[in-house]
Amino acid sequence: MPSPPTQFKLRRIESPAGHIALVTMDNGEDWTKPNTFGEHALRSLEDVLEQLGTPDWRGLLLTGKPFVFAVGADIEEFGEITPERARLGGAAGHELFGRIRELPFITLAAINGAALGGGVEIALHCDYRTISSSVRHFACPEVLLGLIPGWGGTQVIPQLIGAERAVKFIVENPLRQNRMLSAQQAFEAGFADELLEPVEFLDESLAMLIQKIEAGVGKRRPRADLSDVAEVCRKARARLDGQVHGAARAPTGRSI
Amino acid sequence: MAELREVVYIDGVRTAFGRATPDGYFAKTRADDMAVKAVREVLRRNPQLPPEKIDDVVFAATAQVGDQGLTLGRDVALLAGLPKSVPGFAVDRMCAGALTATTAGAGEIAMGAADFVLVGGVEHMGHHPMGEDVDFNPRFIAEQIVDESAAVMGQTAENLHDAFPYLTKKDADAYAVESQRKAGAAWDEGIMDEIVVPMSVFTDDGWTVAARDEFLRPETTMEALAGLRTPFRAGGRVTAGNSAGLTDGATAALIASADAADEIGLAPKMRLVGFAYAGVEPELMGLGPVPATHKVLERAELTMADIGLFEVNEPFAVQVLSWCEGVGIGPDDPRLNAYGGAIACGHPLAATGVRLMAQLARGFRDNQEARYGLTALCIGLGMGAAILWENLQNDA
Repeated sequence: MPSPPTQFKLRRIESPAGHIALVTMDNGEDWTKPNTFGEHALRSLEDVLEQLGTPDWRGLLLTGKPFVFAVGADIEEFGEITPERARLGGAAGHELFGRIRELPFITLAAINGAALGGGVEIALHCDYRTISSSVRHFACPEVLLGLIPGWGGTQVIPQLIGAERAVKFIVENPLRQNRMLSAQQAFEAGFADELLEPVEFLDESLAMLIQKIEAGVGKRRPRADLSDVAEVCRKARARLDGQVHGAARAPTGRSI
Repeated sequence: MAELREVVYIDGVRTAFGRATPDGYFAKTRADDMAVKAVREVLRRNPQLPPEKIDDVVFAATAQVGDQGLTLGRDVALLAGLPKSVPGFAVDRMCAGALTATTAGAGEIAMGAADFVLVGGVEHMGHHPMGEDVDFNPRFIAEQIVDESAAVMGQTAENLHDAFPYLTKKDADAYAVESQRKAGAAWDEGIMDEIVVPMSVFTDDGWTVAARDEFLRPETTMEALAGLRTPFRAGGRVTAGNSAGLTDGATAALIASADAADEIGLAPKMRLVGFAYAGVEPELMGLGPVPATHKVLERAELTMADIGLFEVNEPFAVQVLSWCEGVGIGPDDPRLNAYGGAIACGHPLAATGVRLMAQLARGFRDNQEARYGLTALCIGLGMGAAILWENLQNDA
């Protein structure tokens, strides 16, 4: 049975720092049916971005329903996908996630549960990230499916954590029995600014956002030194060719 | 016998109080998670206290089932991340749950069995409607042990109007308007922000933050209250406007031995002078705090004139009015419920006691000339509770 579409639900929170947009990704089901991004979800995100266009917002916190952040594109839609629809889906994601990046106030993704693929990417388009220490699934598994993280992941991940770690995360982990990171590992790899206990995770994430607004901390676009990218990719390709012998083609075809 | 030790109140907080309806703040939030929030806030505000020094966690709930069912004191201690060496237990005295948790903890401290005790209460009346799963013994009615109306709190409030015919609906409504106004002012002045800890809660519309009491209606008028229906009796006097709504909420406080608090540099706000529980006719349960008040004052050899502040629960306006009659003060006495009461903020049964204590402690700070204060409430099945406190914030 397909899950109902995930919606982006906007609530206005009054804080000492002004109005905060608290956006929840929620498909109305429990944690056994995680949030995914299909056409409906992207339209819902577009609606929320419209509402965030008014000038009174001071910050945005993006999180998921209890125990789940988001697990990426809606696989159910893949069955009927065509090259044209794939291109449109990719472009829609670029456009909408780009608009999150360009919001004129600071944004924080509170990664409260499983974050996979597009879930990781949407979080990385925010300025700051917290992650709950209870998270056990943090990964971009696209390469295992013969895809690439197509909503900016191949760009923002290396810019955040450097080429060496990015290649490991995007290419090598999926091809090693789809290895995923725990919260601790994701934090150590540089994906999150704070590793927080689950018990008051959202309250503390919100407090962190408010504190940053009050401190006048600006938006942030990390730019890791990527001068080693060609060399890192060459070595990774050599290693992977030795392992998969061409069985997984998507990742090794072109350098990132 | 061991020499008794002084018991002091250090600090207390609560969650915002929400409507116990499917669209209330806490409809999708667990009761024990609410209690955990309150406990962690108390610890956060008092970092001098190493958590391993907590000797007991006493938590109250009236409905000790479901998300309030797992020996709450221990359940909450573990979920709050306290060391596993910290024990806990659960108590029930209906509306006086948190007061009973406090006096039980105080007993441990006074006897030298504990230095620091966390106390509190939680009631998710949305998850646990009053009386649900209760199997009333048919003997109560068959043998006329209690009047049938004793089981329905709103009917006991109508009975109070019968017993005191000169306490009219108009008096009750006027009291309610004043309670709402005082509570609104306390919020406006930031007083409630010192007591209420905001909590993020998941709802059908996504996560939001429960930061303000949902029942609060400072703009309430006599005219608006006059037209409300009287659900407990045709042509009755008790309405949703002059009583506390069904509420979800949690509270927590830290009490300690005076010496142990001093040793680690915690400044106590109040000293526990004494406490009393009393029983009355169950169908007039609202009268319970009257004998409890007399009893605790007599034991302390004090009179009403010695008491500078009163925090009295307000399940029903007529209940407070009849308490005022019984103890000889006016309902407009400035010492009474200066920050409003349950009519404005709600009454999550077993949680309310600590709310009264937290407001009294705050009131002592604002009224340094007040030496003594009283927290009191009525209890279902015809009981009353009163704790007498001494202000320790007036020497600073």
